[in-house]
Amino acid sequence: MTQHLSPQEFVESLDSTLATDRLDHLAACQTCRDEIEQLRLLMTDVEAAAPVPQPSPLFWDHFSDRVRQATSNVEPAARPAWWAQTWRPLAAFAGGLAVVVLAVVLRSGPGAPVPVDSATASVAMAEPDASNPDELASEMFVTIASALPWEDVEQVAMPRADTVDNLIEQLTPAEREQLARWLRAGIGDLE
Amino acid sequence: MRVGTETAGALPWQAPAGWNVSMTRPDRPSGEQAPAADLREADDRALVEAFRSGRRDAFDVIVDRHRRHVYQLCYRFVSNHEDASDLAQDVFVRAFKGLGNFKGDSSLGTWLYRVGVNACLNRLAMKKVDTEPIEAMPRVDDRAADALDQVMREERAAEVRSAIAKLPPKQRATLTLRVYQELSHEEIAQVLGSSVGAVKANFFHALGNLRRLLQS
Repeated sequence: MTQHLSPQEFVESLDSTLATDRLDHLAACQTCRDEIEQLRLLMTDVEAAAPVPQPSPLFWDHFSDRVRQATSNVEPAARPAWWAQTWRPLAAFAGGLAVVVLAVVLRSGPGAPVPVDSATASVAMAEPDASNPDELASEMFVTIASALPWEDVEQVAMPRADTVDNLIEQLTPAEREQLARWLRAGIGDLE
Repeated sequence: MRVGTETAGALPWQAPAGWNVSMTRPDRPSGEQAPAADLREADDRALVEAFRSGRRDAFDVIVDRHRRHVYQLCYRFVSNHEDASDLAQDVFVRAFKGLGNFKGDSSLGTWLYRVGVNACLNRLAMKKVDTEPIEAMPRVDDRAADALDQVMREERAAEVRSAIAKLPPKQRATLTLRVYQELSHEEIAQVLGSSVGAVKANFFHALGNLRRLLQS
């Protein structure tokens, strides 16, 4: 028998959005079916438990007046100035770029310093080395990020606390395996 | 007092024949104007833009449009009209102050729920809200044939409400938004600032804890 439903899958089952392959397990598993039945009964109790009394129409007019009075002396927060809106995306972009550069440096590993004259250096900055995939990736990142609006770059470069969780949840098992291999390899390099 | 979008029109009172009386709601205090018709028809996004450009009356329309949902949410957390009313007012004052920073990533309604949930959880953390005593159940007409059934249903409902009040704050918020406010898991994730997976797990654990509380 396959694994029992996870908490998320129980909720999906209550919502009738459980994935088809897990429906097969549900059909065969009495334990999971019993759990769902109990959850359904509980949901019925919860739904019946909390009617909110409807205040009178006069209350609503009075309520709106109260809010108006309470806000009459309040200054709404002004929209942030353009520079205040821009510094965060700029910092994010710089941070993202730093991460890419760091990744390139870590993956290429320590090597003997190669003397470069200034002319060669400027050419290297201007045109990425087509034979080096890391440099191409970095160049591509910079090009794409430069063409995007700042807000979009901020969305990508300043993830919220749960963004990584979200992304990992969206990966297929094969992709997760690959990610785990990369992480193990990366940690091994650092050690 | 003003004529709002939900309560427009004259009071339902008919003057006796021969009386020359015009019976309408009192006007706003002098100096205030009812929101213009264009605002009442505007969608939330346009209202936010109008407010940002200095039209305070746009906020009146926002209050009229969302006050019931915000009040209901607050009532779910505090279980009495007085506190719910104060809390709902507080939510709109916070919204008034913060609307300039609203980015529009979610709908205005979802954002207001977010402000509301934060206000409710703060209130719960600061003040022990009086829980509803079993004796406060609505009176039951004992002449009704199913009076006993109704009493039992009310008792059960009071137990469930009491158990919900004991849930950890985030689980309680998730359960309330899902079951009573009928938000989708995605909307709840936006309100609570977490992932959809976390919302589903929270909801499952809320039900599990509720079951344990009701059995104990």
